[in-house]
Amino acid sequence: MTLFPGIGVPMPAAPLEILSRDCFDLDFANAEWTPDSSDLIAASGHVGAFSRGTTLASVTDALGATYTAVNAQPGWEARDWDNDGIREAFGLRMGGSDRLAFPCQFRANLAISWMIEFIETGAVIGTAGATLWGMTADDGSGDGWFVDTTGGGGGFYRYNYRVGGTTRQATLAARPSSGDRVRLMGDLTQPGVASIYQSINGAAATSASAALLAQPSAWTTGLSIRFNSRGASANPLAGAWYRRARIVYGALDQTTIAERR
Amino acid sequence: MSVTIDGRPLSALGVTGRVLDGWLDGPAFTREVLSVPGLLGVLPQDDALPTTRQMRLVVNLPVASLTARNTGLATLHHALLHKLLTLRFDDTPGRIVRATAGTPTVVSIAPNASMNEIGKNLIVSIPLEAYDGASYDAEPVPLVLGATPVEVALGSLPSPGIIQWSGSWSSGVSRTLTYRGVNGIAYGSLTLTPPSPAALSSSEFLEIDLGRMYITHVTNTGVRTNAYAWKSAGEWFVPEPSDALPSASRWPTLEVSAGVGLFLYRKAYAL
Repeated sequence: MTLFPGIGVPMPAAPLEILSRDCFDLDFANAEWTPDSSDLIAASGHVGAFSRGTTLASVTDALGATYTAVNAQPGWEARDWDNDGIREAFGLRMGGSDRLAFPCQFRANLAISWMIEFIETGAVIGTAGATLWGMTADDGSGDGWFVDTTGGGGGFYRYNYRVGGTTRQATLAARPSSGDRVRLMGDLTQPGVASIYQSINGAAATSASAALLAQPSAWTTGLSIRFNSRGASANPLAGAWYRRARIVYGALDQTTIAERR
Repeated sequence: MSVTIDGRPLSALGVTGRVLDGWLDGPAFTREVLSVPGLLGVLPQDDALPTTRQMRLVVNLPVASLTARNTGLATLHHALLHKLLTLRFDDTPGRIVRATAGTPTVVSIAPNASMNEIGKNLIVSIPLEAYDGASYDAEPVPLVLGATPVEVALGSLPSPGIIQWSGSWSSGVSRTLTYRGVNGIAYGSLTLTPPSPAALSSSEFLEIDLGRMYITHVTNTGVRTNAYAWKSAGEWFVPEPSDALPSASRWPTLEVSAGVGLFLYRKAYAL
């Protein structure tokens, strides 16, 4: 028994499709969406289920014309992302009834960092507990993290990190207005410090951090990366246009995580 | 050098660029021909076929020592091999080319320096092959279609896409998707008629994939079924720039005879 392969080394597959080695990598401009599947496939290979039980009105195309997305039809919308007045950026507009979840299985006790780009499309931030995105169990409970809104007069985005029934919160002190281009970045250190960074319309990021809470030895089973809600039905956001999102292992590097394939 | 690979500049891969070949060449096209015995001339195939596109990137790989060469090359291999790469070039920053990398090869080093610290840095040649030699806009385009023709701005190659067609649609009723050139002539149309008892409710939609020639009925809960049987007349088509007048920014059009369509497509370019 030499343990040399009998007929040579087996070659790894070279799939002719977009493939990312990130923990999670979803760019709606590159996500796979085909007529023979209702799934939305991220570059990292995660398969997401999209659903909406009602219509979504006033979704806008590249020329500014609007349409009503019927049930189960994703609200593909073009928006101006580089502030030149041209709707060149492709993304998914989600309303209060839209659900998009990517089942995932991440290792705990590792530093992770994440990034999400979006445009708020309504007076969302004043609603308490509306969830922008997160990594939570299907019922919205258990160990995990999510970004939601504080509500109240004005409101801010807040990074919630939860282990064993204890929640740590990092709340930003600046807020976007509806229509602002927002890039949120966050990290969770291996010891368990959660920090969030917010760049509005391309400006320098402001940040907030929470107190230390040790990471669990394993994340709750049944986790999903969820957009627009915390659980299958819990705490939906009233509306946002999502452009792309990434999660990687390791400390946050704001330049690297903003790279776009 | 003005290239990013999967969004990463060369510096993030620990290298600097030396040579970039073929990035503006675009795909070559071939057209098969058939000889007919006893006749002068040949029969050309209707459609030309693109061939793969070859590019080459040569980089400097600086390393700290002779024994660090292996680590540097392994990093490069991990970033490049066994996946579809997305390439961007600074002269067309909004476009992407999708390619796979061949095995990087180390350019020969003078024999007396190959295992000497003086010659520890490497020059690496990376072949890049794009099976789909076109470049594409990084961002797809959604366009709302109605009964009035809507211009479809294109690149320099045809753009198949997907049409999501909604609106109550009774069994046995025909609707037509029409494609017209910039001269208004209908170069293509698809007429669809739901065979009894099939129909489309106001909360459902039909998805038509012009590239793969699929017709799919999507229910209000997202359940998909093959609806190719709805095609009752017409021929498949793809919007193409030869039907446009790019110099005047006038483009071919699409229209639906009833209901609301959403055309999702990505501009494609020969460069």
